Amino acid sequence: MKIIEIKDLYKIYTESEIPVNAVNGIDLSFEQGEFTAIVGPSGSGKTTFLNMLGGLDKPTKGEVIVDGVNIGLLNSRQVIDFRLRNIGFVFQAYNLIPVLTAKENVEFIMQLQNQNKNDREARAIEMLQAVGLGDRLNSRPSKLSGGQQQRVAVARALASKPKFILADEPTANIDSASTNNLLEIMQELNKKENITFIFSTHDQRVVNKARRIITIDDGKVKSDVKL
Amino acid sequence: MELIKIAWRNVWRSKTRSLVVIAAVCIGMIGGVFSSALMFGMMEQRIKVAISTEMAHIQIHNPKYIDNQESKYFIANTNEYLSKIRKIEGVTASARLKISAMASSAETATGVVINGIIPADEIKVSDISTRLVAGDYFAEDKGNQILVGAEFAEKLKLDLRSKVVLNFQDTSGTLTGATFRVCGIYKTTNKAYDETQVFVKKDDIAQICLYDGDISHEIAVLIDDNDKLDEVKTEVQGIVGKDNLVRTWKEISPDLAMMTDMMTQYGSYLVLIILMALAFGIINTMLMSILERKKELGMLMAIGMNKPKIRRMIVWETVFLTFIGTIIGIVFSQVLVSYFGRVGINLGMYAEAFESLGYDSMLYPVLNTGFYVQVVILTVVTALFSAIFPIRRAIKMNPAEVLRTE
Repeated sequence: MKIIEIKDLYKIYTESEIPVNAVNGIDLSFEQGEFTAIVGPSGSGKTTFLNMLGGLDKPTKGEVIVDGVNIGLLNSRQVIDFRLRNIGFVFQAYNLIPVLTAKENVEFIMQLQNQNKNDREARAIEMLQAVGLGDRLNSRPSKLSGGQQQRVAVARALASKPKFILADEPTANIDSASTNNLLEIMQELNKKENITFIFSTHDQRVVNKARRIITIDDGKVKSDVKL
Repeated sequence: MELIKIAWRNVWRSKTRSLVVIAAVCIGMIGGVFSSALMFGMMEQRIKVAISTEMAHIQIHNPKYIDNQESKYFIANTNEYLSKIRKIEGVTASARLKISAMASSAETATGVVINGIIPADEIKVSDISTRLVAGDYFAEDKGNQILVGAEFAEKLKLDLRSKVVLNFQDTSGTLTGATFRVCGIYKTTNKAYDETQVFVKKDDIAQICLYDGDISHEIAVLIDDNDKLDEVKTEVQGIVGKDNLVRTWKEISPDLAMMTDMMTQYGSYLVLIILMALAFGIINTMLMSILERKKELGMLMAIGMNKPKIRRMIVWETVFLTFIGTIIGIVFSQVLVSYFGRVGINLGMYAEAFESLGYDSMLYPVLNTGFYVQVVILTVVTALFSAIFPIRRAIKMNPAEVLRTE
């Protein structure tokens, strides 16, 4: 089942004297349960593409249709709400709320969705146990390693029951042991729960685990390989 | 709830920075509140003296007496009015003859206002009997006694038992006079009053002027609760009719009433100015905090925290920063006001200057609940004002951009 359809997508930055075509006409679609890596050199347009996929940036031209909704047509309030209910984010720099514990960080997104306290708490614990942090529920991010923080970020992304998870260079700041551990967890969740993961990455270990590899260069899809 | 928790914890991310702001708010608040308490205390003392010694709450006059203070403009049927007025709950009253006179001693002469009083009645509306610095209040069995102010005594070089000659006009305009002997010397905190007001028995003056005992120039009414002022005034006006003028102390001395209102406003302005100055410190702190958390705010927006929630979180942070200092400041101020309200602040070195303006040099700071409510409202306004700029900065952020920047 297709959950994302991208049609003739362009992003042109016109702030500088010479316009920059960051995304230069991409047509793609993603199926439910994919484990996809988007690769390409720095400046190839991976992050811009991912931002438009996540509704963080508006396309200059083209459409991003998620579950039948053209997110480019949503106003800013609608798009924030759409992200909250449909997309999970994992960032390169973890980006957890430092003043909250691991459990509170995971619970927070569900609170934004107005879920009740008991459900929130139960799911936060369940998600943290799923990423192997059942024993660190009450630790603040500063007390966790980079890998553990990124696992909390994955738990947070999963907690909101999104249609898909966008992960921008999720392993860039963690060591190899943590990377393997994180990838195993995400792969397991992908297989067990049929959750769609889309990564942008430079990391060969991530690429090796992916079942679809999309190569982007100069804002265009150079190759799209399903393994 | 979670937003409040995050906001509270955000305040303590940079403890030193927040504590500096909180301390500044606290000190500013103590300064503003305590200065206001001193001003209110001064005003309250002045009003207290003006009411309990000089004016009472309400005065009744013949309307013509106000324009031209001649003996012939008196209030008739005084006794009937007095007995009716005294029946109002919580109200006492005393009638006075008030005559402008020339007072002479062996040394010199000066203009003066004679207050012809019934001593037993006067005690109920005026505390002049408690302000004696020498001698006694009137003795029942002695005639032609006079109670003079310390300033007056000094001017005429009078001592206890000194003789004073008072010359004045009776109701027919005939010049008359009599000799009085000083029985007591009083001292209030108003030098001008002490210099111009003397007290004699009403009967003594009535005898000299051949007055009917049922007339007076002034009826002074004292109420046990100033809040009933207008209510009692209406009742009294009903008793004495339209031929007599009934005025409250605020109407008699509009300058005092105006100063009370002015002081309340001045106190609020003072606190507002202090808070506004502090607001810039709070804005600066909040802007720094927003700048430091750019990525985090970008992440919050990215995962689905909408602008109203971002706004609310920042408002809570500024409210916490502002209110912690305000509450501590108010508590400290209240402790200071309670302590100095009990023991007073002695500015005796400026006593002359204070007394010449009608104020006591012993200051007792005082604050009412209404002022604290005003301070809290002003603090809320300051917090909301301080939040405007950080909020604008935060919600203008583009999450995609801030998440990209390292």
